[in-house]
Amino acid sequence: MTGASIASETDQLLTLLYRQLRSLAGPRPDLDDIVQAAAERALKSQHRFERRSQWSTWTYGVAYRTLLDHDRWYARLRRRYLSSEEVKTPEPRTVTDSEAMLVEVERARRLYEALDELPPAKRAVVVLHDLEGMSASEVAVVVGTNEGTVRSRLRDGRAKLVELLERDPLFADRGSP
Amino acid sequence: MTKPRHPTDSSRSKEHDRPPALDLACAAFQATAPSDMEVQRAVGRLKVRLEQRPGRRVRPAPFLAAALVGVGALAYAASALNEPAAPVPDAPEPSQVRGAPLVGENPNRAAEAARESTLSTTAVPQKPASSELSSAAERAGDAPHGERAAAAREARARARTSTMQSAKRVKRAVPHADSASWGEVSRAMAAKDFARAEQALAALARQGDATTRANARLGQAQLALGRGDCARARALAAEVQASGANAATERRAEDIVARCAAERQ
Repeated sequence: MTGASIASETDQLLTLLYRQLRSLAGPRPDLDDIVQAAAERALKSQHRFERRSQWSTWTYGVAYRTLLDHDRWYARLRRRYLSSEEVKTPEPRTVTDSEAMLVEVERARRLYEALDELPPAKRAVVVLHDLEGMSASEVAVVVGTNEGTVRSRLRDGRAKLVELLERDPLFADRGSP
Repeated sequence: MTKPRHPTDSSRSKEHDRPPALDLACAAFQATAPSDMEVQRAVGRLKVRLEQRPGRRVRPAPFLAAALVGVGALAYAASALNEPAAPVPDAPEPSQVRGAPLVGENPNRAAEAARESTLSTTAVPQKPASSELSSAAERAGDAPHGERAAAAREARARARTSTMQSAKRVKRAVPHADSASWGEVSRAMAAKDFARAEQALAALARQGDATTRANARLGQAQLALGRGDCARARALAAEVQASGANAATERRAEDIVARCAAERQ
Protein backbone atom coordinates (compact mmCIF):
# COMPACT_ATOMS: atom_id res chain seq x y z
CA MET A 1 0.00 0.00 0.00
CA THR A 2 1.52 3.28 -1.12
CA GLY A 3 1.63 6.47 0.86
CA ALA A 4 -0.78 8.14 -1.52
CA SER A 5 -3.37 5.41 -1.18
CA ILE A 6 -3.03 5.50 2.60
CA ALA A 7 -3.56 9.26 2.56
CA SER A 8 -6.55 8.81 0.30
CA GLU A 9 -8.03 6.16 2.59
CA THR A 10 -7.49 8.41 5.59
CA ASP A 11 -9.24 11.24 3.73
CA GLN A 12 -12.15 8.99 2.90
CA LEU A 13 -12.38 7.79 6.48
CA LEU A 14 -12.28 11.32 7.85
CA THR A 15 -14.93 12.47 5.38
CA LEU A 16 -17.17 9.60 6.27
CA LEU A 17 -16.71 10.03 10.00
CA TYR A 18 -17.22 13.77 9.83
CA ARG A 19 -20.52 13.41 7.99
CA GLN A 20 -21.69 10.61 10.27
CA LEU A 21 -20.80 12.41 13.45
CA ARG A 22 -22.27 15.63 12.17
CA SER A 23 -25.52 13.70 11.73
CA LEU A 24 -25.33 11.93 15.05
CA ALA A 25 -24.11 14.78 17.20
CA GLY A 26 -25.28 17.79 15.26
CA PRO A 27 -23.26 20.96 14.92
CA ARG A 28 -21.30 21.41 18.11
CA PRO A 29 -18.05 23.10 19.07
CA ASP A 30 -16.25 19.88 19.95
CA LEU A 31 -17.22 18.06 16.77
CA ASP A 32 -13.65 18.10 15.46
CA ASP A 33 -12.40 16.53 18.70
CA ILE A 34 -14.94 13.75 18.46
CA VAL A 35 -14.15 13.10 14.80
CA GLN A 36 -10.47 12.97 15.60
CA ALA A 37 -11.05 10.49 18.43
CA ALA A 38 -13.28 8.39 16.19
CA ALA A 39 -10.71 8.45 13.38
CA GLU A 40 -7.95 7.32 15.74
CA ARG A 41 -10.18 4.56 17.04
CA ALA A 42 -11.14 3.45 13.54
CA LEU A 43 -7.54 3.47 12.28
CA LYS A 44 -6.46 1.47 15.31
CA SER A 45 -9.15 -1.18 14.96
CA GLN A 46 -9.74 -1.31 11.23
CA HIS A 47 -8.09 -4.74 11.07
CA ARG A 48 -11.08 -6.00 13.04
CA PHE A 49 -13.50 -5.06 10.30
CA GLU A 50 -14.75 -8.45 9.13
CA ARG A 51 -16.78 -7.28 6.10
CA ARG A 52 -19.97 -8.64 7.62
CA SER A 53 -21.50 -5.23 7.12
CA GLN A 54 -20.78 -2.27 4.91
CA TRP A 55 -17.70 -0.24 5.66
CA SER A 56 -19.86 2.83 6.30
CA THR A 57 -22.00 0.88 8.77
CA TRP A 58 -18.87 -0.20 10.61
CA THR A 59 -17.56 3.37 10.75
CA TYR A 60 -20.98 4.48 11.93
CA GLY A 61 -20.60 2.04 14.83
CA VAL A 62 -17.19 3.48 15.65
CA ALA A 63 -18.60 6.99 15.46
CA TYR A 64 -21.53 6.07 17.69
CA ARG A 65 -19.35 4.47 20.36
CA THR A 66 -16.90 7.34 20.29
CA LEU A 67 -19.72 9.84 20.65
CA LEU A 68 -21.20 7.93 23.59
CA ASP A 69 -17.80 7.74 25.29
CA HIS A 70 -17.17 11.40 24.66
CA ASP A 71 -20.55 12.43 25.98
CA ARG A 72 -20.11 10.30 29.09
CA TRP A 73 -16.69 11.83 29.69
CA TYR A 74 -18.06 15.29 29.06
CA ALA A 75 -21.00 14.69 31.39
CA ARG A 76 -18.60 13.67 34.14
CA LEU A 77 -16.43 16.70 33.48
CA ARG A 78 -19.42 19.01 33.57
CA ARG A 79 -20.68 17.43 36.80
CA ARG A 80 -17.33 17.98 38.44
CA TYR A 81 -16.11 21.27 37.11
CA LEU A 82 -18.57 22.97 34.80
CA SER A 83 -21.87 22.48 36.56
CA SER A 84 -23.05 26.04 35.96
CA GLU A 85 -21.61 26.36 32.51
CA GLU A 86 -23.84 25.86 29.56
CA VAL A 87 -22.48 24.95 26.23
CA LYS A 88 -24.17 26.87 23.53
CA THR A 89 -24.91 24.87 20.45
CA PRO A 90 -23.85 26.89 17.44
CA GLU A 91 -26.21 27.38 14.63
CA PRO A 92 -25.75 25.20 11.61
CA ARG A 93 -23.38 27.00 9.31
CA THR A 94 -25.19 26.45 6.11
CA VAL A 95 -24.77 29.11 3.49
CA THR A 96 -28.16 30.28 2.37
CA ASP A 97 -29.67 33.33 0.83
CA SER A 98 -33.27 32.43 0.63
CA GLU A 99 -35.96 32.94 3.21
CA ALA A 100 -37.01 29.31 2.94
CA MET A 101 -33.53 28.19 3.75
CA LEU A 102 -33.40 30.51 6.71
CA VAL A 103 -36.55 28.88 8.00
CA GLU A 104 -34.98 25.47 7.47
CA VAL A 105 -31.87 26.56 9.32
CA GLU A 106 -33.89 27.80 12.25
CA ARG A 107 -35.93 24.62 12.21
CA ALA A 108 -32.76 22.54 12.18
CA ARG A 109 -31.43 24.48 15.15
CA ARG A 110 -34.57 23.75 17.10
CA LEU A 111 -34.48 20.13 15.95
CA TYR A 112 -30.98 19.74 17.40
CA GLU A 113 -32.15 21.35 20.62
CA ALA A 114 -34.97 18.82 20.79
CA LEU A 115 -32.59 15.97 19.98
CA ASP A 116 -30.35 17.11 22.83
CA GLU A 117 -33.23 16.35 25.18
CA LEU A 118 -33.21 12.66 24.21
CA PRO A 119 -30.97 10.10 25.87
CA PRO A 120 -27.92 9.39 23.66
CA ALA A 121 -28.95 5.85 22.71
CA LYS A 122 -32.46 6.88 21.67
CA ARG A 123 -31.20 9.96 19.93
CA ALA A 124 -28.79 7.88 17.84
CA VAL A 125 -31.53 5.46 16.82
CA VAL A 126 -33.94 8.24 15.87
CA VAL A 127 -31.28 10.10 13.90
CA LEU A 128 -30.08 7.02 12.07
CA HIS A 129 -33.50 5.62 11.30
CA ASP A 130 -35.81 8.60 10.89
CA LEU A 131 -33.43 11.28 9.69
CA GLU A 132 -30.65 9.33 7.97
CA GLY A 133 -32.99 6.70 6.60
CA MET A 134 -31.13 3.60 7.70
CA SER A 135 -33.03 0.35 8.15
CA ALA A 136 -33.61 -1.06 11.62
CA SER A 137 -31.22 -3.92 10.94
CA GLU A 138 -28.46 -1.52 9.92
CA VAL A 139 -29.10 0.60 13.00
CA ALA A 140 -28.88 -2.55 15.11
CA VAL A 141 -25.41 -3.24 13.68
CA VAL A 142 -24.31 0.33 14.29
CA VAL A 143 -25.47 0.55 17.88
CA GLY A 144 -24.56 -3.05 18.67
CA THR A 145 -27.96 -4.33 19.76
CA ASN A 146 -30.72 -6.41 18.26
CA GLU A 147 -33.51 -5.15 16.09
CA GLY A 148 -36.11 -5.46 18.84
CA THR A 149 -34.16 -3.10 21.05
CA VAL A 150 -33.73 -0.71 18.14
CA ARG A 151 -37.46 -0.65 17.49
CA SER A 152 -38.19 -0.14 21.16
CA ARG A 153 -35.74 2.75 21.41
CA LEU A 154 -37.07 4.15 18.17
CA ARG A 155 -40.65 4.11 19.41
CA ASP A 156 -39.77 5.84 22.67
CA GLY A 157 -37.32 8.29 21.13
CA ARG A 158 -39.61 9.22 18.30
CA ALA A 159 -42.56 9.78 20.63
CA LYS A 160 -40.48 12.05 22.82
CA LEU A 161 -39.06 13.93 19.83
CA VAL A 162 -42.47 14.44 18.26
CA GLU A 163 -43.82 15.64 21.59
CA LEU A 164 -41.03 18.20 21.84
CA LEU A 165 -41.32 19.31 18.23
CA GLU A 166 -45.06 19.73 18.32
CA ARG A 167 -44.72 22.24 21.11
CA ASP A 168 -42.70 24.36 18.70
CA PRO A 169 -44.74 26.57 16.39
CA LEU A 170 -42.14 26.15 13.68
CA PHE A 171 -43.05 22.47 13.52
CA ALA A 172 -46.73 22.86 14.28
CA ASP A 173 -47.70 23.33 10.68
CA ARG A 174 -46.02 23.67 7.37
CA GLY A 175 -46.48 27.40 7.32
CA SER A 176 -44.31 30.07 8.71
CA PRO A 177 -43.74 30.35 12.51
CA MET B 1 -23.33 7.61 3.03
CA THR B 2 -22.77 11.11 1.73
CA LYS B 3 -26.47 11.55 1.03
CA PRO B 4 -29.16 10.64 3.51
CA ARG B 5 -31.15 7.70 2.39
CA HIS B 6 -34.86 7.53 2.50
CA PRO B 7 -36.29 4.69 4.45
CA THR B 8 -37.64 1.99 2.25
CA ASP B 9 -37.54 -1.08 4.45
CA SER B 10 -40.52 -2.89 5.80
CA SER B 11 -40.07 -1.41 9.25
CA ARG B 12 -41.24 1.87 7.80
CA SER B 13 -44.34 0.44 6.18
CA LYS B 14 -46.44 1.17 9.24
CA GLU B 15 -45.42 4.77 9.17
CA HIS B 16 -47.86 6.14 6.70
CA ASP B 17 -49.21 8.33 9.43
CA ARG B 18 -45.84 9.84 10.24
CA PRO B 19 -46.32 13.00 12.24
CA PRO B 20 -45.82 16.08 10.09
CA ALA B 21 -43.40 17.43 12.68
CA LEU B 22 -41.11 14.53 11.93
CA ASP B 23 -41.32 15.16 8.21
CA LEU B 24 -40.43 18.78 8.77
CA ALA B 25 -37.58 17.76 11.01
CA CYS B 26 -36.31 15.37 8.36
CA ALA B 27 -36.43 18.05 5.71
CA ALA B 28 -34.62 20.53 7.94
CA PHE B 29 -32.04 17.92 8.83
CA GLN B 30 -31.26 17.20 5.20
CA ALA B 31 -31.29 20.82 4.17
CA THR B 32 -28.68 21.69 6.79
CA ALA B 33 -26.41 18.75 6.13
CA PRO B 34 -22.82 19.91 5.84
CA SER B 35 -21.79 20.96 2.36
CA ASP B 36 -18.89 19.30 0.59
CA MET B 37 -16.84 22.44 1.10
CA GLU B 38 -17.46 22.37 4.83
CA VAL B 39 -16.55 18.69 5.01
CA GLN B 40 -13.34 19.23 3.03
CA ARG B 41 -12.30 22.06 5.32
CA ALA B 42 -12.99 19.89 8.35
CA VAL B 43 -11.04 16.99 6.85
CA GLY B 44 -8.09 19.30 6.21
CA ARG B 45 -8.16 20.49 9.82
CA LEU B 46 -8.43 16.94 11.11
CA LYS B 47 -5.56 15.69 8.95
CA VAL B 48 -3.30 18.35 10.40
CA ARG B 49 -4.42 17.39 13.89
CA LEU B 50 -3.82 13.70 13.25
CA GLU B 51 -0.36 14.40 11.86
CA GLN B 52 0.53 16.64 14.76
CA ARG B 53 -0.74 14.38 17.49
CA PRO B 54 2.00 13.19 19.81
CA GLY B 55 3.24 9.67 19.34
CA ARG B 56 2.05 6.99 21.61
CA ARG B 57 3.73 7.43 24.93
CA VAL B 58 5.86 4.55 26.03
CA ARG B 59 5.13 3.96 29.63
CA PRO B 60 8.20 2.48 31.23
CA ALA B 61 6.62 1.41 34.48
CA PRO B 62 4.93 -1.83 33.31
CA PHE B 63 7.99 -2.89 31.35
CA LEU B 64 10.24 -2.12 34.27
CA ALA B 65 8.01 -4.06 36.63
CA ALA B 66 7.88 -7.01 34.24
CA ALA B 67 11.65 -6.97 33.86
CA LEU B 68 12.13 -6.86 37.63
CA VAL B 69 9.74 -9.76 38.12
CA GLY B 70 11.56 -11.74 35.42
CA VAL B 71 14.97 -11.09 36.95
CA GLY B 72 13.63 -12.00 40.37
CA ALA B 73 12.15 -15.24 39.08
CA LEU B 74 15.42 -16.16 37.37
CA ALA B 75 17.40 -15.39 40.50
CA TYR B 76 15.04 -17.49 42.57
CA ALA B 77 15.26 -20.38 40.15
CA ALA B 78 19.04 -20.15 40.06
CA SER B 79 19.28 -20.08 43.85
CA ALA B 80 16.94 -23.07 44.12
CA LEU B 81 19.02 -25.03 41.62
CA ASN B 82 22.31 -24.17 43.30
CA GLU B 83 21.02 -24.86 46.78
CA PRO B 84 22.65 -27.99 48.21
CA ALA B 85 20.44 -30.85 49.18
CA ALA B 86 18.84 -30.06 52.48
CA PRO B 87 20.23 -32.09 55.34
CA VAL B 88 17.85 -34.50 56.94
CA PRO B 89 18.57 -34.35 60.65
CA ASP B 90 15.17 -35.57 61.69
CA ALA B 91 14.71 -38.41 59.29
CA PRO B 92 11.64 -40.49 59.68
CA GLU B 93 12.00 -43.58 61.70
CA PRO B 94 11.07 -46.20 59.22
CA SER B 95 9.70 -48.46 61.87
CA GLN B 96 7.39 -45.76 63.17
CA VAL B 97 6.57 -43.73 60.13
CA ARG B 98 6.55 -46.44 57.55
CA GLY B 99 4.89 -49.00 59.73
CA ALA B 100 7.61 -51.58 60.21
CA PRO B 101 6.67 -53.68 63.16
CA LEU B 102 8.91 -53.13 66.13
CA VAL B 103 9.41 -55.84 68.66
CA GLY B 104 6.38 -55.99 70.90
CA GLU B 105 4.26 -53.84 68.60
CA ASN B 106 0.99 -55.03 67.13
CA PRO B 107 1.85 -55.82 63.51
CA ASN B 108 -1.71 -55.06 62.29
CA ARG B 109 -1.58 -51.61 63.79
CA ALA B 110 1.81 -51.03 62.29
CA ALA B 111 0.57 -52.08 58.87
CA GLU B 112 -2.40 -49.74 59.20
CA ALA B 113 -0.10 -46.91 60.12
CA ALA B 114 2.04 -47.74 57.15
CA ARG B 115 -0.94 -47.55 54.82
CA GLU B 116 -1.99 -44.21 56.28
CA SER B 117 1.47 -42.80 56.09
CA THR B 118 1.83 -44.00 52.52
CA LEU B 119 -1.40 -42.31 51.54
CA SER B 120 -0.41 -39.07 53.14
CA THR B 121 3.25 -38.98 52.25
CA THR B 122 3.67 -40.69 48.92
CA ALA B 123 4.15 -37.42 47.04
CA VAL B 124 5.98 -35.65 49.84
CA PRO B 125 9.72 -35.99 50.04
CA GLN B 126 11.39 -37.15 53.18
CA LYS B 127 11.31 -34.67 55.96
CA PRO B 128 13.69 -32.04 54.76
CA ALA B 129 15.75 -30.46 57.40
CA SER B 130 16.27 -26.78 57.65
CA SER B 131 19.54 -25.30 58.69
CA GLU B 132 17.59 -23.80 61.55
CA LEU B 133 16.78 -27.25 62.82
CA SER B 134 20.36 -28.43 62.52
CA SER B 135 21.73 -25.47 64.37
CA ALA B 136 19.07 -25.77 67.06
CA ALA B 137 19.84 -29.42 67.48
CA GLU B 138 23.56 -28.68 67.63
CA ARG B 139 22.99 -25.97 70.18
CA ALA B 140 20.93 -28.40 72.18
CA GLY B 141 23.71 -30.95 71.99
CA ASP B 142 25.63 -29.37 74.84
CA ALA B 143 22.61 -28.77 77.05
CA PRO B 144 21.32 -31.12 79.76
CA HIS B 145 19.03 -33.93 78.67
CA GLY B 146 15.68 -32.23 79.52
CA GLU B 147 16.62 -29.03 77.77
CA ARG B 148 17.95 -30.99 74.83
CA ALA B 149 14.67 -32.78 74.46
CA ALA B 150 12.70 -29.56 74.65
CA ALA B 151 14.97 -27.86 72.15
CA ALA B 152 14.75 -30.80 69.81
CA ARG B 153 10.96 -30.82 70.03
CA GLU B 154 10.80 -27.11 69.33
CA ALA B 155 13.21 -27.38 66.44
CA ARG B 156 11.25 -30.27 64.99
CA ALA B 157 8.00 -28.30 65.17
CA ARG B 158 9.68 -25.35 63.49
CA ALA B 159 11.10 -27.55 60.79
CA ARG B 160 7.71 -29.12 60.16
CA THR B 161 6.14 -25.71 59.67
CA SER B 162 8.85 -24.51 57.34
CA THR B 163 8.67 -27.79 55.46
CA MET B 164 5.01 -27.30 54.71
CA GLN B 165 5.57 -23.73 53.67
CA SER B 166 8.38 -24.48 51.28
CA ALA B 167 7.38 -27.85 49.94
CA LYS B 168 8.06 -26.88 46.34
CA ARG B 169 11.46 -25.47 47.14
CA VAL B 170 12.34 -28.55 49.09
CA LYS B 171 11.22 -30.81 46.28
CA ARG B 172 13.54 -28.96 43.96
CA ALA B 173 16.40 -28.91 46.46
CA VAL B 174 16.35 -32.61 47.27
CA PRO B 175 18.27 -34.54 44.67
CA HIS B 176 16.01 -36.65 42.55
CA ALA B 177 17.81 -39.93 43.09
CA ASP B 178 17.63 -39.53 46.87
CA SER B 179 13.99 -38.73 47.01
CA ALA B 180 13.26 -41.64 44.71
CA SER B 181 15.15 -43.95 47.03
CA TRP B 182 13.31 -42.75 50.12
CA GLY B 183 10.12 -43.17 48.15
CA GLU B 184 11.18 -46.68 47.33
CA VAL B 185 11.75 -47.33 51.04
CA SER B 186 8.32 -45.90 51.80
CA ARG B 187 6.60 -48.04 49.18
CA ALA B 188 8.44 -51.18 50.25
CA MET B 189 7.55 -50.62 53.90
CA ALA B 190 3.92 -49.99 53.03
CA ALA B 191 3.89 -53.25 51.09
CA LYS B 192 5.62 -54.96 54.03
CA ASP B 193 8.39 -55.89 51.62
CA PHE B 194 11.14 -55.48 54.19
CA ALA B 195 13.78 -57.05 51.98
CA ARG B 196 13.21 -54.43 49.30
CA ALA B 197 13.16 -51.73 51.95
CA GLU B 198 16.45 -53.04 53.29
CA GLN B 199 17.94 -52.93 49.80
CA ALA B 200 16.75 -49.39 49.25
CA LEU B 201 18.10 -48.31 52.61
CA ALA B 202 21.41 -49.98 51.83
CA ALA B 203 21.53 -48.04 48.56
CA LEU B 204 20.80 -44.85 50.42
CA ALA B 205 23.49 -45.65 52.97
CA ARG B 206 26.01 -45.78 50.14
CA GLN B 207 25.04 -42.55 48.43
CA GLY B 208 23.96 -39.08 49.38
CA ASP B 209 25.41 -36.85 52.05
CA ALA B 210 26.45 -37.80 55.55
CA THR B 211 23.06 -37.09 57.07
CA THR B 212 21.24 -39.17 54.47
CA ARG B 213 23.67 -42.04 55.03
CA ALA B 214 23.22 -41.81 58.81
CA ASN B 215 19.46 -41.80 58.48
CA ALA B 216 19.57 -44.75 56.11
CA ARG B 217 21.72 -46.70 58.55
CA LEU B 218 19.35 -45.79 61.34
CA GLY B 219 16.52 -47.16 59.22
CA GLN B 220 18.48 -50.35 58.63
CA ALA B 221 19.09 -50.63 62.38
CA GLN B 222 15.39 -50.24 63.09
CA LEU B 223 14.55 -52.87 60.49
CA ALA B 224 17.08 -55.20 62.05
CA LEU B 225 15.56 -54.52 65.46
CA GLY B 226 12.11 -55.26 64.04
CA ARG B 227 13.44 -58.58 62.73
CA GLY B 228 14.91 -59.30 66.16
CA ASP B 229 18.49 -59.08 64.86
CA CYS B 230 19.75 -57.12 67.80
CA ALA B 231 23.41 -57.64 67.07
CA ARG B 232 23.13 -56.05 63.65
CA ALA B 233 20.83 -53.32 64.97
CA ARG B 234 23.33 -52.46 67.66
CA ALA B 235 26.21 -52.46 65.22
CA LEU B 236 24.37 -50.17 62.84
CA ALA B 237 23.28 -47.86 65.68
CA ALA B 238 26.84 -47.68 66.89
CA GLU B 239 27.91 -46.80 63.38
CA VAL B 240 25.36 -43.99 63.32
CA GLN B 241 26.59 -42.72 66.67
CA ALA B 242 30.15 -42.83 65.48
CA SER B 243 29.34 -40.97 62.28
CA GLY B 244 28.78 -37.77 64.22
CA ALA B 245 25.17 -37.38 63.12
CA ASN B 246 23.03 -34.69 64.61
CA ALA B 247 21.56 -34.91 68.09
CA ALA B 248 18.17 -36.24 67.10
CA THR B 249 19.58 -39.04 64.97
CA GLU B 250 22.08 -39.86 67.65
CA ARG B 251 19.33 -40.05 70.24
CA ARG B 252 17.40 -42.49 68.09
CA ALA B 253 20.50 -44.58 67.69
CA GLU B 254 20.82 -44.54 71.48
CA ASP B 255 17.21 -45.65 71.75
CA ILE B 256 17.92 -48.61 69.51
CA VAL B 257 20.93 -49.59 71.58
CA ALA B 258 18.81 -49.28 74.73
CA ARG B 259 16.06 -51.44 73.23
CA CYS B 260 18.60 -54.01 72.25
CA ALA B 261 19.88 -54.03 75.79
CA ALA B 262 16.34 -54.44 77.10
CA GLU B 263 15.73 -57.30 74.64
CA ARG B 264 18.82 -59.03 75.82
CA GLN B 265 17.71 -58.84 79.45
